[in-house]
Amino acid sequence: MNSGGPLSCAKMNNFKFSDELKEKLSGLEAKINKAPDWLVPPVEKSRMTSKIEELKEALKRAHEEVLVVGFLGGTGVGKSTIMNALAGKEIASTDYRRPHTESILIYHHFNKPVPEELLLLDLPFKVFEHSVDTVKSLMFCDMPDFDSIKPQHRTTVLNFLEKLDLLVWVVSPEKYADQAFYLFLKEAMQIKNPKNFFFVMNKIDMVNPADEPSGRERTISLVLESFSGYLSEFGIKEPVIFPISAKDAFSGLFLDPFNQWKLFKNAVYREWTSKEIQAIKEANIEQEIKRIARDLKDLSEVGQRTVDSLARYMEVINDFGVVLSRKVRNLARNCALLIIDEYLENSVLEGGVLFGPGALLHRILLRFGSKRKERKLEAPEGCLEGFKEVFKQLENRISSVAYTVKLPAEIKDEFSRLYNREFLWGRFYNEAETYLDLSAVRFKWNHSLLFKVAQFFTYFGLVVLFFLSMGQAWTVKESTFSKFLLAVFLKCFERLFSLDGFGAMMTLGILELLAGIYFVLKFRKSLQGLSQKFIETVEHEIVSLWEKILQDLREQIKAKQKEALSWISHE
Amino acid sequence: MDSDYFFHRIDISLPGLTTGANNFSYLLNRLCILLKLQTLKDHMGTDPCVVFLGGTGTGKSTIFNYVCGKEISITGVERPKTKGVIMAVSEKKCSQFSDFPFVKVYKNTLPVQGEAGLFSIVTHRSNIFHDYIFVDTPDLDSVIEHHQDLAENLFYLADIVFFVLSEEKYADLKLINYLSNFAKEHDCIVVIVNKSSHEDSIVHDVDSLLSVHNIRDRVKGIVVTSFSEYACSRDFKKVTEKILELDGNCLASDNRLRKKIQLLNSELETIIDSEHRELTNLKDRIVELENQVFGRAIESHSEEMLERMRLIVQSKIKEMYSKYDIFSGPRRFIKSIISFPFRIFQSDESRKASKDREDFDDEILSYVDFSVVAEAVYTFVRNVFDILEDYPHNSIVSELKKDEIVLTESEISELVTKGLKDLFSWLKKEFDRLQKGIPKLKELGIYSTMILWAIFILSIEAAVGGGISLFDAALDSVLTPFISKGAVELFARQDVHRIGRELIKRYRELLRSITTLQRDRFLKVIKNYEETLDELRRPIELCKNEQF
Ligand SMILES: Nc1nc2c(ncn2[C@@H]2O[C@H](COP(=O)(O)OP(=O)(O)O)[C@@H](O)[C@H]2O)c(=O)[nH]1
Ligand SMILES: Nc1nc2c(ncn2[C@@H]2O[C@H](COP(=O)(O)OP(=O)(O)O)[C@@H](O)[C@H]2O)c(=O)[nH]1
Ligand SMILES: [Mg+2]
Repeated sequence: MNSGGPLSCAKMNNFKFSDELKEKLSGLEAKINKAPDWLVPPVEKSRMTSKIEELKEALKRAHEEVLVVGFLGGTGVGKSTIMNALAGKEIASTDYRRPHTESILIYHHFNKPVPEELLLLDLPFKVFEHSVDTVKSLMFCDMPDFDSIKPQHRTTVLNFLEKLDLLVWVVSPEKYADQAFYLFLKEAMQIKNPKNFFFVMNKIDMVNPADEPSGRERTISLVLESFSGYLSEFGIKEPVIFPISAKDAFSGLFLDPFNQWKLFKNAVYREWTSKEIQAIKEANIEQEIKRIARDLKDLSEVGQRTVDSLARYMEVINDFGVVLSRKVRNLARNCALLIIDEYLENSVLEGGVLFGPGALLHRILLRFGSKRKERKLEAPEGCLEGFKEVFKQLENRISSVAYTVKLPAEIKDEFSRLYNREFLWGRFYNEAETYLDLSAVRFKWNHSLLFKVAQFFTYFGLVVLFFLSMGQAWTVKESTFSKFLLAVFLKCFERLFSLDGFGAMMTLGILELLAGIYFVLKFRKSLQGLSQKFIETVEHEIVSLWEKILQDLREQIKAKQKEALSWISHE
Repeated sequence: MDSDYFFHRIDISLPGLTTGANNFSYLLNRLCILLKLQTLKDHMGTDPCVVFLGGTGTGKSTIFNYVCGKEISITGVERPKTKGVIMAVSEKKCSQFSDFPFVKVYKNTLPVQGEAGLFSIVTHRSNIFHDYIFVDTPDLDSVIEHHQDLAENLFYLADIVFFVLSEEKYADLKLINYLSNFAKEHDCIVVIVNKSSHEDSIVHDVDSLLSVHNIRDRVKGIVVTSFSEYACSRDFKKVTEKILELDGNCLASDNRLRKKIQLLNSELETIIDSEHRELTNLKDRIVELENQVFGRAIESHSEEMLERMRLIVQSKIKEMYSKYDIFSGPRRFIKSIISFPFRIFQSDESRKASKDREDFDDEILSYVDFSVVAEAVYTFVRNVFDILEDYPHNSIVSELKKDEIVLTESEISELVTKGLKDLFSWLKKEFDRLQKGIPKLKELGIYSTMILWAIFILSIEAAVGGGISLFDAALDSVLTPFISKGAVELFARQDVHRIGRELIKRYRELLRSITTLQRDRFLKVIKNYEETLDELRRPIELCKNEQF
């Protein structure tokens, strides 16, 4: 090997790779931080970002630390025996009785202390030191099993898994097809890169040569083929499998030619360059990054589904909004009528826009004419209660869609707050109330003074005319004014009770009545016009208030959609 | 697994309203397998049956071969090696199986490795156990999951179970779980720990393990063996002695199988029953909800609405009165008598009247507030969905929640419009009939039509607001101010009442038809499931139909 070329090339690559990972991590972090809170709750976010921080930190230190090698396998496959064989002495206790290993046995160089963080984990540990300088950077971990009747062993292994860099999976001819093994392997592949896996087929001395007439070599290769077949089914293509017999290796006896113990030992129990260590750690970090990216992709999918679901919400808001706005219009009309009623009740009748014969007539008409229905006199604001139903219906409608879309419950809840009936109604009530109060003040019949003057002059003028028409009465001649008045009075009195007088009185009465009718009609007509206009404005205003609320709702939904979309498309 | 007789799975989607439903397919398929085993068992007669069960590679086939006295079942290093059931029977018995549906008899091509879905039948050559039937099985613990399904059913064939473990596997969680489940049903189990020469300590370990699982007294023995080279003849003896020891004491397999079949059957029936009950319950709740919602919708058509309509109608009538001034009637009557001879075609007035009526149609349509119906429908839908939240998420729930099940706004508005149009054309026909009956009042047709329409609108509102009794009130309140009693009689008060009542009925039906349409869409889904359930009523027959 030439010193220059390939090495520096590898260096370049390595350098690039860690940068690439760093970039990916920052990218993921940025994406996570940008995520809308309703899609990724802050707790979840901080969990993910702290994981990313951890990985960043690990990436920085990737080249300087020890390499943690773990032996994983079912009970009795010979993990402890392998450990002993590597160490060359019995550090791990082995036994034929099952299950045997309970705690994690750590075997490390005395110069490289076990990292604090490892020991902080609340797991059973046993620690041994060695002084073999060539494997200074290695820290071996003999693990408990994951398939025995002691489920706590499995938990221990799972909790420690994260700390491992190189994983040596140990199986035996008896256990390599066990379901338990593959289930665990699958779980480990979530966070560990299969590039860093070694597979060991232990106990090949146990393979019965009688099983295959074609010889021992063939027998062993059959086992290995079969094993690698299963592994590739689980996504590990071209696995590195070492057929060994740890027992023979440990006892230091003659090594069977099929026993690849030496190869295995050379592959693991050796000096690892810091670049190699870095590459191993980076590969694992890459795996974890993939996992986070996968999680984020799932979240993106949820986001996309949210966008689609919100589009459905929009649709029904539009369709049902139209249906409801007719109801809103009717309810608004009702409010307007109530206000008009109140006004008529309070000001028109009592305050007396009409008076004299007109007022009399009006009252008579009111009493005997079209029977006005006794309305329960409620405050105009009371009519707003009726709108509650509208918002309830809107909520119902959107909910019926919300039930059908497939989104996480938290997200649905988040959105249900947007169209919550109490919330929307509260907004509506406040604005509508102010508006109605204002409009109630505005509803005034403004011509009352002129109208009163006109009435006064008409009625009074008729009376004056009546007296003026008394004719001769005015011709009396008396010396003093008081006498004159008395004479006129007597004359009028006399004439009143004459036939002419009665006629004139009748005429006066008829004229006054006609004038009254005129004024009542005029009053009613203009009141009607006024009411009509008023009703229309109130309807219009309330409906546009309703539409404004709907529009706001739509905009909020659009905003969420946009938020989600921009997050999804964010790289 | 093509043409896999044993694992022919029946795929059935239950509504899934109870938690038991998840298990249904599994249990049913299990029942079918056991029924097939039952037919086999009947064929096997009363000959004692020994079944070897255990983990892969523990040496089941090896021991089986020793017991059978010849190399029948393939043994080897590839795991799992045995791929199907292998049954060793006596020469005499063997021929009985030749035409059995799911067996294959092997004569020469030994050893066999078994085939998925088939029973491989071979004659054994045991002198001691001449009548015995020995069964070698695939494993209970390998990645090939259907081996587990098969093996755990073969258990029911066994008079004696040899549960084979090895030194490496005797503490495997999965195997020990199987063992303890088996031991709960079976009291003739022998545990073999193979590939071991540490007899005492292993027996001790297994003993305490069994005690922990409370099955020590169910297990008839713990045998530690090693079938490699020198030890095999000694250990073979241990196994045969165990069989001889148990001989005659363990013959309950037939009962066990029947009991298990009964148990599964009744479990399945219970699931179906409870599903059925839940389904009926759900149906009732939906029907009940629709009733409630419709009732409430009718109520919510409140008096205020009635009042509002009255105002509209009154103003409308006033308008008409002022348009066709009240004295013009008699005037025109005279005119028409004078002009009668010249009048060949329909008069202007009546043409105008019919035009007005058309306009009025549209106007009424625009007044009719179909939000009442839409609200009722959606309240109903929401309430139904609320109920569905109570159930686990399952097939029926997702089917009920499909988009196309829920009526859309435009569908509703179309239905209402169409319904009303039909109602109008019916009404028009009635009016026309009525008017034909009073030809002398032809000139008053305009007013009469007006008033009839007024009644119509009011009746709708009354119908919705308060039903029949309000109808009379509404009728009077509209008629009184405008027409004297005599005039009303001219309009055939009786007929008006009849039409009005009919109208109320029809209008209510129209409203109801829309909520019931929604209800029926829900019920249709339920009905489909009910039919499926009915087909499942008898699980055993279901299996048998599947079988032959
Ligand atoms: N025949 C044989 N036995 C082995 C071999 N390796 C380990 N064993 C035996 O397997 C048993 C369990 O070994 P152990 O290392 O305790 O397994 P662990 O549970 O995976 O740690 C012991 O009795 C060992 O002697 C091997 O290569 N060949
Ligand atoms: N050393 C040893 N090997 C055995 C013993 N019994 C069986 N084997 C071997 O274990 C392997 C698996 O045996 P097999 O009977 O196919 O296991 P099965 O899968 O349970 O049927 C074969 O290679 C046998 O030769 C034993 O007692 N000792
Ligand atoms: Mg086998």
